[in-house]
Amino acid sequence: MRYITFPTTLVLQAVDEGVRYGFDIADRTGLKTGTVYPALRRLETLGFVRSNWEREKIARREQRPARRYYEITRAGADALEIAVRRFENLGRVKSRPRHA
Amino acid sequence: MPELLRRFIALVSRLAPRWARREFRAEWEAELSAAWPSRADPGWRTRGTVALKAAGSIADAWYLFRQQWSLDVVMQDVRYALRLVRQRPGYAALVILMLAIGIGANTAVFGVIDGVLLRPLPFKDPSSLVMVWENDRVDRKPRYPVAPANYHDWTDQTRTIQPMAAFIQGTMNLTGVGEPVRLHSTVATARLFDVLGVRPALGRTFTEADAVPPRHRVAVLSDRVWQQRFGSDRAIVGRRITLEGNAYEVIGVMPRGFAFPDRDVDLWRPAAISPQVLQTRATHFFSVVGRLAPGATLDAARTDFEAVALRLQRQYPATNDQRGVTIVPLHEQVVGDVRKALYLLAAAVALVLLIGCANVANLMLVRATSRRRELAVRAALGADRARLVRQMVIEGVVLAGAAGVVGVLLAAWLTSVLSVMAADYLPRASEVHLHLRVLLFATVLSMGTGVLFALAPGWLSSQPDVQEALRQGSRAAGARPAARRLRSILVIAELAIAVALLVAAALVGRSFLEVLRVEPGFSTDHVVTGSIALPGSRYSDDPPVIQYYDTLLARVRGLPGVRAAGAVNALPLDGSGPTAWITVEGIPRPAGEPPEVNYRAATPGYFEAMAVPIVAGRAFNATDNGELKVAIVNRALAERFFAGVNPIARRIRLGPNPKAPWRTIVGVVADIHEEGPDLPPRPQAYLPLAQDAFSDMTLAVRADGDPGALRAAMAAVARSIDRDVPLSRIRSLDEVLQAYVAPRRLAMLLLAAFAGVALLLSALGVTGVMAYTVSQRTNEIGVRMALGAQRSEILRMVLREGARLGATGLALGVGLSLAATRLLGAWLFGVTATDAPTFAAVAAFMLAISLIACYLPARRAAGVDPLSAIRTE
Repeated sequence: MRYITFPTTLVLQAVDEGVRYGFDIADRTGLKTGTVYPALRRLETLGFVRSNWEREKIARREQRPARRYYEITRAGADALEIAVRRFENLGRVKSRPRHA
Repeated sequence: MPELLRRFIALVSRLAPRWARREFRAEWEAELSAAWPSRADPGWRTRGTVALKAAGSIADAWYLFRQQWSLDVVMQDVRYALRLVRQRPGYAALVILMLAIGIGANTAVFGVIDGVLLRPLPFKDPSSLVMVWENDRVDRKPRYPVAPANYHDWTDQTRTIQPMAAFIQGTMNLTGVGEPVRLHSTVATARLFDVLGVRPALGRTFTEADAVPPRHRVAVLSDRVWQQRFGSDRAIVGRRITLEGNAYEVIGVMPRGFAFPDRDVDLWRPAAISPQVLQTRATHFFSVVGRLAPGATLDAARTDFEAVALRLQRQYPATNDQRGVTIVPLHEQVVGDVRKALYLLAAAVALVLLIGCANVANLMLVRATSRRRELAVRAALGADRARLVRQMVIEGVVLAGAAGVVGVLLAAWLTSVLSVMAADYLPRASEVHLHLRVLLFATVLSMGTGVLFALAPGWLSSQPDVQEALRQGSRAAGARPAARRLRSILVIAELAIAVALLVAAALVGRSFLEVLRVEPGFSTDHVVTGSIALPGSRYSDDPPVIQYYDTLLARVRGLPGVRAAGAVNALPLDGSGPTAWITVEGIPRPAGEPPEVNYRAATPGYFEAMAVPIVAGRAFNATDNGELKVAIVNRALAERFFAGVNPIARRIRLGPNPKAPWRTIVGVVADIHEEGPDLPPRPQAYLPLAQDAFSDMTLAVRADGDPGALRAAMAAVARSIDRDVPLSRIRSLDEVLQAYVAPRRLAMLLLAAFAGVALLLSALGVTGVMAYTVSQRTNEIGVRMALGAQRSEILRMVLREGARLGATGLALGVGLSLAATRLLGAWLFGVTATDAPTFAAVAAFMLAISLIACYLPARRAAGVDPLSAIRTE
């Protein structure tokens, strides 16, 4: 089991909760984009999340380019469970404020 | 989303690796666009927040940039390289072998350099240790032994070298412990061990109190003697042993590995210098070692000692005229002679490695060309240039790493062989090991080698014209001109280096033969030699010494198969012998001629045993023991000091003492190369042992047939006369000569080996390049043949191209050799550094080799079937 850091765990948790886009994850976790993106890259390399591109149709409707979205994988879900337990023991996951 | 932000993202994306850029930009632009407030919303605050979010792209791009150099990705490349190695084991083995030879030889030589030159001497703070010599400007000897009185004055009047110790090396017979044995002893003043800063492993070392008779009969043993002779008995301290017939108390044992002044030393004892000896300024026999006082520099010490020397010159003009002081760092004294030879060796092996690298670079270029399609595919899939170069370099490092492992094994073997072969004349040979530092050197060397030979091919092949390469496939694509040029340059460089090494090896080899061809003035076959040292306790006067050698020689001559037997105090080719000032009665010394000549004490039968011809007069005989003092001189002495006068019956005096007796010359003998066949004979006088007794002599016995059988009989004869006096160092005169030329032989063998490897590698290089050229030109050759070219013409065409490479390499190599062989200096004898026949022979040989190397590919070219060649497309 590879070690993931606390902020990365928060990012993974957000993806698990259905927050799909990078900026939204930043808003949800309260982390800076400069932290969120490297965390996403790492999670993707580890196979904990996978990414895909929004369909063109949706993008065109909203008059902007297609966004990249992230989904948690089975391995990511397992890793998240372990990581959350670890950080809960440290009393950190719950103490973090959440932004809507 | 404003244009400015778009530009910003485009700029940042350049930091990301090429394959990731497009998606990077798309993702960031999409996010920013989605987050950017609509035109209706004037909220500056929101815009500022979004712009801040854009700044996160820098961290993202930086992460991607770093990721491509992460361990994971590098390991991916390593795995890829290993897979390629597995796919082509022959190629890998060839590369590893070529590099391993270079890395192994370099590591071994670095191991020797490290052990001999770089490691500090095994004493406390060794950099402040110095040797102090007298400087005899009359005889032009910068490192001359020191007269006791001068040493005494130095200790009194100087401050910069403290403490100092004087010592003399000699031998002593140890009896009463098994067979009698001759030990190397060093007699030293009390502070020797303080100077060196070494403590004994057992007991104590000697002090000033031990230097006062009769308490001076104490000895400190070396670890080796303690082990070999006394079975490492820890109760040795306090025990009495018999040296030269006198009882000595063992007061200490030095730690293992401690050896001073040389590795042969077996024991140390305090010098009890009488006040009379301490007054002596005319005889010089001390070696002096000292430690620079805290804060004193070498220059300061030189100034200090020169000032004292000047005072002594004025005070004692008879003995100290023209006498200065030479101070050399101890390290320089120990290794000074071999430094240049070792650096030369290092240069030779570095060149071998360079050739290996060039060859491997060539092989990699060939492979890179055949891998163009693969590389183009990778480039098309988004691998950028850095990534492709890195892949090649990692491949190189993997191969070089394997070669490094093989090379270190090779080096371990080479070092053990070298340190045994060179043990007798390489100072500190026993300290040569593959230490951590040497292994580190091998590692760095391997990695550097890998990068070096992979970088250029990697760079060249990493800029494939993707479309072209994909369309044409791997074979017909051909090498681009830059790669082809590089390959020719590499081969030419290899040839040039090989020529330089060959010339050097040939010159040193010829020098070796020239040395052996010199007539030393005596005949070395059928002669056995052996040394005797009579203990001073029972042979302090001349008559018993003379009596002993008379008896010994008489009995040896009585042995079956002995044709002649004699003895001399210093055997030719075996270190230096005594010298003395000469005065010729009635003939002034020629201007500019140093007054110093060699002198030897010899017995009747010596010249006969050595087969030294008598040129005039007679040899010594049994009657040369009376009142009439006689001498024999060599031809060189007769020519230099007698100015054309027949020296027979003229008289000479040896030594500075005006009361020394005149000696009548009764014979002139031919010159012999006392100091070595490669050194000119010096003027030399011989005195009969009966009139100038030496207790330490070397026997020379000429046999009718095989002299080997005499060895045991001679030792038995010596034992039968005095069982406490062993005959030691029993060697044939041939062995003595071989020992003298051994350093030359080793240098020649090493250079020849390196040159041979260089030759082989560069021939392989030529073959490789030509074979490759031929395979690339198969199509063209087919067309030529279809158009009517004859096979012989094709053969000639390829050979011509090979010859062009060979000739260019040769020309460069000759230039390189002319510059480099000058460095051979002292290794050359009887040939000049620019010896034309040697250069011509090497050139012809090299040209022949490169033509042979081309022949196989050329034959293959000539055997091309035009139809199938044209169809190859």
